[in-house]
Amino acid sequence: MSADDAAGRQPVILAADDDEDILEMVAFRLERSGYAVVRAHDGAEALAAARETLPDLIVLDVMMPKMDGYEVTRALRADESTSRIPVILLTARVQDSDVQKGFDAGADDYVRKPFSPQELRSRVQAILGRR
Amino acid sequence: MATATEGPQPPTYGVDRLWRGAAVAAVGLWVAWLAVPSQLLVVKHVVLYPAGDFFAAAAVLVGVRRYRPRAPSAWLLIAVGLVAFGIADLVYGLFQVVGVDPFPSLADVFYLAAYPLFALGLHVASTSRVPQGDRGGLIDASIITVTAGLFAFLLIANQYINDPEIPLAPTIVASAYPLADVLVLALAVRFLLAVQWRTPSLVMLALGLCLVLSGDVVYSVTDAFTTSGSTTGADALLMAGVLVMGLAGLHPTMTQLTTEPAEVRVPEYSVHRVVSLYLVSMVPVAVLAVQAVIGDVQNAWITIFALVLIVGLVLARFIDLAGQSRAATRRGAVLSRFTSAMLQHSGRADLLAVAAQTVAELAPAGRARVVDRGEGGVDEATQFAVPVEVGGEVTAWIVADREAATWRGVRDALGNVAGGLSVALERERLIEAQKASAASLAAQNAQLRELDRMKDQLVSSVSHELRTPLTSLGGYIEMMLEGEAGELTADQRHFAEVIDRNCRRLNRIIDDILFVARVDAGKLSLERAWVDVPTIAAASLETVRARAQQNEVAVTLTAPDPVPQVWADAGRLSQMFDNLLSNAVKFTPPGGTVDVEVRAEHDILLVVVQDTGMGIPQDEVAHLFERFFRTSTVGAVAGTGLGLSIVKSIVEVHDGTIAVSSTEGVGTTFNVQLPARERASAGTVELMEEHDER
Repeated sequence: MSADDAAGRQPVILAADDDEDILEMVAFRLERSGYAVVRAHDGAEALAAARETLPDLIVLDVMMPKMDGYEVTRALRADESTSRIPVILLTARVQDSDVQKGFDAGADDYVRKPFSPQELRSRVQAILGRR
Repeated sequence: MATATEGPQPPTYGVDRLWRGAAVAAVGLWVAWLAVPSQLLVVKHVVLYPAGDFFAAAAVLVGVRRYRPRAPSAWLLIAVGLVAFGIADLVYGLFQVVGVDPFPSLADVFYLAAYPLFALGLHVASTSRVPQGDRGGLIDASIITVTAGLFAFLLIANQYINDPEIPLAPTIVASAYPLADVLVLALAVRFLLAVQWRTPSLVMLALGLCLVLSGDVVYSVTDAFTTSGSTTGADALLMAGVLVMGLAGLHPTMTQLTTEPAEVRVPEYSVHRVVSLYLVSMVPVAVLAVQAVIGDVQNAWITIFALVLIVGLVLARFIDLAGQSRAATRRGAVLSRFTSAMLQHSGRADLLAVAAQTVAELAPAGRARVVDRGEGGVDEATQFAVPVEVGGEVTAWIVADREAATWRGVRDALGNVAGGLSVALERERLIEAQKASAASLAAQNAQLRELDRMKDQLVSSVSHELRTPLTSLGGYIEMMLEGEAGELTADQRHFAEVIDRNCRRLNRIIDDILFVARVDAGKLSLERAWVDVPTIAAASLETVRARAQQNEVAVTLTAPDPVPQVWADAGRLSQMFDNLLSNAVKFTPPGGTVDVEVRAEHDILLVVVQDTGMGIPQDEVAHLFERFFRTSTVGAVAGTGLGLSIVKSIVEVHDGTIAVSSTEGVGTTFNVQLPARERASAGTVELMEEHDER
């Protein structure tokens, strides 16, 4: 199973979650699906890594220390170099207003916790496949 | 049987030994004087007769000393008058002993001096008792006096004036007697019209004066109409009158002469009195008529003069009454304004100010005022005070001085003001109390709401926290089952599936708890659209079908006719069906059926979910929709006890109703009614963009 793009390059995905187990699970699933995964453990680290590595897609947990997922998304959108990177938010929240808040910040999609790794992979593939 | 009492005894009415002794002595003196033969001139006229006068004067003086009346000058003037009588009688007695009878003499000087003294005493008493404003009483007294004066003139003084044999000086002195009588009568009437007749002392004083005046009349008549008549009858009346006056002064109730009564009683308008006055004013006319009938019209001019005088007085009396009536009308208007002002104002200070203004209008020139509890209170000038009570405590007084308090109308009006103020202040107090209790309730309410909010937040945050580990748990198990960690043995796969199933169950429980928490917090938002209920029911049916087949339960959907769409949240409705159907499948034994029927009845959409399950005991049906309630028949079937309460919440936020009927061992039927409103024109079916995934 390979996710290599047309240029034969392995797509890079930045995954950020302060929960190490979930982060590992997301990374494992995506790596097994043929993506290169860059890990971040909080919002600030995620933003720095995104600017540095310019990944093809970012999976952001909403509830993170230092900067939450919304803030990181807004910061990415505000920066010319990162403004076009797709963002998928992982949210434990269920309120519709929270989902709306994610889209308002500039996210492309969201996955509600608890989620199945398969579901996440499908969303990632759907977004990257569109491009 | 004597009881020891200490300190000075207050005067006890009726059992006063001194007075009884004096009364016995007075009667003894009078009887002795009557009994002594006329031959004993010295004993009868020089000793006994003047002794009666001096005895009476002494009795009054002892009374004044003993009972210390207010304004003692009233009694003292009467006592001096009695002494003057005594001296006059003594002088006259001495003349008789000597055998001369000069007229006029020194005796007449003292006799005539006594009358103004009595009159002055009564005047002092009148003004002490009824300070001012008794204009009506004064006029009434004047009318009676003029009438009496007319009779005195016609019957007595006239004889002397018309007798050409009598020289000028005796004529004047002789005429002075009836005039002095009239003077005393005038003041006595004025006084008596204003007093209450209860006290023995005043009754005796009036009786004494009556006797003296009667004696004078008898004396004058005897003197004028008989040539050598005995004056014993007149003398007996005079002596009795003097003695009774003395006893009046010694009686314990003598202080009442000048004491202001607790209830000031000023004669005001009464039909009885007006009729009497009218009759009295007719007397001069009657006199003229009688004289005309007997053909002996004498001194018509003086009768006509009296008539004119009386008519004038009667007119004055009516003007006075009209004035009183006008004043009463004005007071009524003031009170009526006061009543409405009390309703318009609030706050103690404002209410007191309104009352003060009203009181000032009722009794101008500061004659009455409102005294707040904190202020000095009731001072010396106060004649009348009404308490303003709030909650059983005196919070203010309305006080009036003597002049204002004289009039019953004013007193009544002030009483009304006090009553109105009382009611308004009481109302104020109740409103304050109500405000205070409302504030305390509001505070408690806020506290309870805060506690409730904290509970909701706790439930919510705990549930969220649970989701993070469940995400890992479910995710890793899923990957394990996918073989990402290598091929699993049959046992490993079975165990992983058990873990996976329980993870999902935990997730459902958390969802339910969060749902309930959201309902409680009033945060259950609906994403409404026009939805087709049979479609949603069919989808739900599909999700339970696998489980139903496993349990050997047949599930069917009956939706015979097209039904109107409803304006509802499709996600919530599907949650409702999920709960109802999974319940029905869960509690229906193998071989049973679960039937869902959707149909329209008028503007109601009816959803019936019927099973042939184990049923619910009758006494538990009422509790079925309560949270965490589980029927006694569920046995080992898993569940949180939240499902049906969630169903009920969903139905209710859609303005619908839900009912249940159940027979144990036969089955259970749920009836849901949803309002099927007419769909708005040109509306399109908006499919729910998203809904809770379960």
